[in-house]
Amino acid sequence: MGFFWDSFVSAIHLLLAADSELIHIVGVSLTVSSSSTLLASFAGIPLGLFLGFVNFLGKRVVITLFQTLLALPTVVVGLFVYAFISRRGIFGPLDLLYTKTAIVIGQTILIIPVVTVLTLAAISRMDKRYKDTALTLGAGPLTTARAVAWEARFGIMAAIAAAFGRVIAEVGISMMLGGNAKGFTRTMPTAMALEYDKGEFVLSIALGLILLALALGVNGFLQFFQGKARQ
Amino acid sequence: MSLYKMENLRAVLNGRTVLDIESLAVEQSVITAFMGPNGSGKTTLFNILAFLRRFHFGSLVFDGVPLSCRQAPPSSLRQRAVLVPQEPIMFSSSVEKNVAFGLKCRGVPPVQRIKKAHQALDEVGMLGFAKAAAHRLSGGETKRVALARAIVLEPEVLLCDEPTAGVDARNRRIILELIARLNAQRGMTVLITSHNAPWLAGLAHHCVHLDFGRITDPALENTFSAPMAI
Repeated sequence: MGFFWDSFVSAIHLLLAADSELIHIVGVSLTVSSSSTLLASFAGIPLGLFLGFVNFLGKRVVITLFQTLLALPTVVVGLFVYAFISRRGIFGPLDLLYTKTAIVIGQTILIIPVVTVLTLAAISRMDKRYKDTALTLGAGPLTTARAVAWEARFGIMAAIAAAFGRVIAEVGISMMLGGNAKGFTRTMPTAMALEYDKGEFVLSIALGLILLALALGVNGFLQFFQGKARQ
Repeated sequence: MSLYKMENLRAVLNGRTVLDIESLAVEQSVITAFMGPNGSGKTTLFNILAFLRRFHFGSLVFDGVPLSCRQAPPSSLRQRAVLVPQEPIMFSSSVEKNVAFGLKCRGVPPVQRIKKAHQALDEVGMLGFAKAAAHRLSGGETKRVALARAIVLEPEVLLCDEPTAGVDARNRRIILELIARLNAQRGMTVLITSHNAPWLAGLAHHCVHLDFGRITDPALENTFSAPMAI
């Protein structure tokens, strides 16, 4: 118990002291995770809507493929992106390896299936009458999709929150593509892994607590927003 | 003049024929009632006539335009026929925004569409609810707003599926009077369903009986010379 208490106190001290290294690590984590969540949302929400509204040959196969990609290990994505952006890869000349951009690319690939599948689930759960109502009132396919998506907005927000939760806590991609470079690409999970390796359990757990607090803050914000919208 | 013409029109659902109409013509600018018990195919027929569902066999001609059972109906036709479903659903916004939705789809400027929405709400006696949250209305109020949402578009055809089901006597009177007025004053073609309603005889010019997806004995098909007062 004392161990956890010490960690908690350490976390508070680190935060109150506004430790520059800690602030930077938290900043990098938030920047890359927010960027990848935003990019994945831009791709995944329309994909989920497309799969929800449009019937085409092989649709079940595509959905099964996306559902399978939910279990994609971060190291596999890391290796895949590494092959493209390493010196010998086709994007090697862009010098992306061990940058925040590389982490964002990997994380975006990781969570596009999350946003897509959960958006599709949110759309599929919607009352069919919303679609029929929009159609009979003269809405075209895009307006209908937008109207139904608006009604499914809480489910879509949950998809975005789940995707953010997946990337804020992932280690594999950040480590393989970011390199855990101090002051540049060190994120909270990679810093925690490093501190653990060094035997600095207290600092590692302190970072974990901050990570949890951040996740709580994001979800609390979403819950507050959902509550406001429901009123 | 016939607005809809159906020949051997069939619709299949889960391998079962739910609609099988040998021949039927729906006249323009009249009120046609479709009567029949639950599961007789009225809602399926209305979804087809509102161009929301495809049929599987036979032919359907709308205002001289033949529709294929192989292709989804063109969305442009949906702007001419509007369906008010049996259990309408409101978008989670204000009543006036719900009513203005179709106008927005038609590119009507914001000020004009709110003005028209208010006029339509006034017609159904719901103007006082313009700013209210639409999903919080009672069943009868929802039906009236759904009707306003349809009539604001001034469609050529208004399809009302069980418009008075689950509605109290006062709301029923308001709805039926409005339907009669739309037909009499604007010449709107109205198609209406009910599973069992004596009031239909007082409203409709024509009455078609459906059972098990088929038009029943033609002797039962009533044609009223003029609708009676409600």
